[in-house]
Amino acid sequence: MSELEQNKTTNDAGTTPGIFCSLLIDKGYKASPLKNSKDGTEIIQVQPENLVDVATLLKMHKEAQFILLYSITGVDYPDKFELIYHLQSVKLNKKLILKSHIDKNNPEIDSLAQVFATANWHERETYDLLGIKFNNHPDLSRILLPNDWKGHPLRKDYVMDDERLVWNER
Amino acid sequence: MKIIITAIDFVYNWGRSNSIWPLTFATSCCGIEMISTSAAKFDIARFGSEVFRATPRQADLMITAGTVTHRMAPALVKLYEQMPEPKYVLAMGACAVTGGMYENDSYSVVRGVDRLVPVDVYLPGCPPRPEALLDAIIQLQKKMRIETILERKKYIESHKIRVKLPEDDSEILLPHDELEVYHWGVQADGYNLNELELTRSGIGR
Repeated sequence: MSELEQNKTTNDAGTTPGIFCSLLIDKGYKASPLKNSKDGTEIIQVQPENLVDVATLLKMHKEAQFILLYSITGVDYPDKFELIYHLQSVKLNKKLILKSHIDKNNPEIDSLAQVFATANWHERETYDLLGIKFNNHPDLSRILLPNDWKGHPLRKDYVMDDERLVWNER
Repeated sequence: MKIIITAIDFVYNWGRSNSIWPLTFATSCCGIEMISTSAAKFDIARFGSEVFRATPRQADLMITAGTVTHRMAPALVKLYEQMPEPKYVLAMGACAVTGGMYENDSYSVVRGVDRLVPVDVYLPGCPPRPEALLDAIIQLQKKMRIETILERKKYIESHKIRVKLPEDDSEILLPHDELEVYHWGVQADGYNLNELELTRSGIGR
């Protein structure tokens, strides 16, 4: 019990803006700090319309230099979609996590493919499995499932109604 | 006449069964075991199969090493159709035999490669050891040695693909109406949902 309480206090202490969150706030972006992850990585929630600007700033700024985007994750919550971007600064040897909430009924967000080339395929995968549309993406097509597949399987309300799923009938 | 054909069969089958050229086709982790089998320690060359061909036009055997997804299925059928007769398929690993651990709930995995193309040798395991793959190749050699050129038509009839190819440009492959698709295990018997829930929660069995 005492260990849990200790963890709780340390996590609560992390909700004050970290260095990168204060950097973003100084530049005039709406950014709010979230609890740090267990390894002390800073987590920042940003507005979806600012995402490309924020990522460009974090990549190009001399004090940050987050030149590597190594993961894009989409999460299906009951009332929203959440996108999680993992960034790595090779210069500082630090990680950074950006989170962004988007509308459940019309999931759209700007593509990061112009900033990080690796975002191209990551965003295609997120589009394929969760159906989140990325604006200004060079080629937003399915990457893991056949091109004419129906639906997006990792959504919680997914119904298996594709013709090919007759393979599964028992 | 029969004696002559038997003699020809013997020489012909001896030649081709000792020089099975597999196609380089590895869709997931079973491919690592296949590579290991072809490397020095297990040495598939002892059985004449060391020449992994990178084109289906020169291959006799397709070792479907790994999970086959719906995205990959049209490519697999196309590769199989491009192989020259006589051609053989070895379903390697649990995923290629029944769908393996993706059998129950997966949306993307074809439940066994035998729903797409006819399979000559089934090799279970997750993944099978290289010795098991060598054993499967020996089984295939035994099967090839008892074939005769008199039953050529029968062979061709039983080696047709088991799907309907789409007439337009779509990628949808559906089971052939006339050819039977075999179900076994959970797919044939089904399972009791309540029992499954109990098992998952640790109460039952």
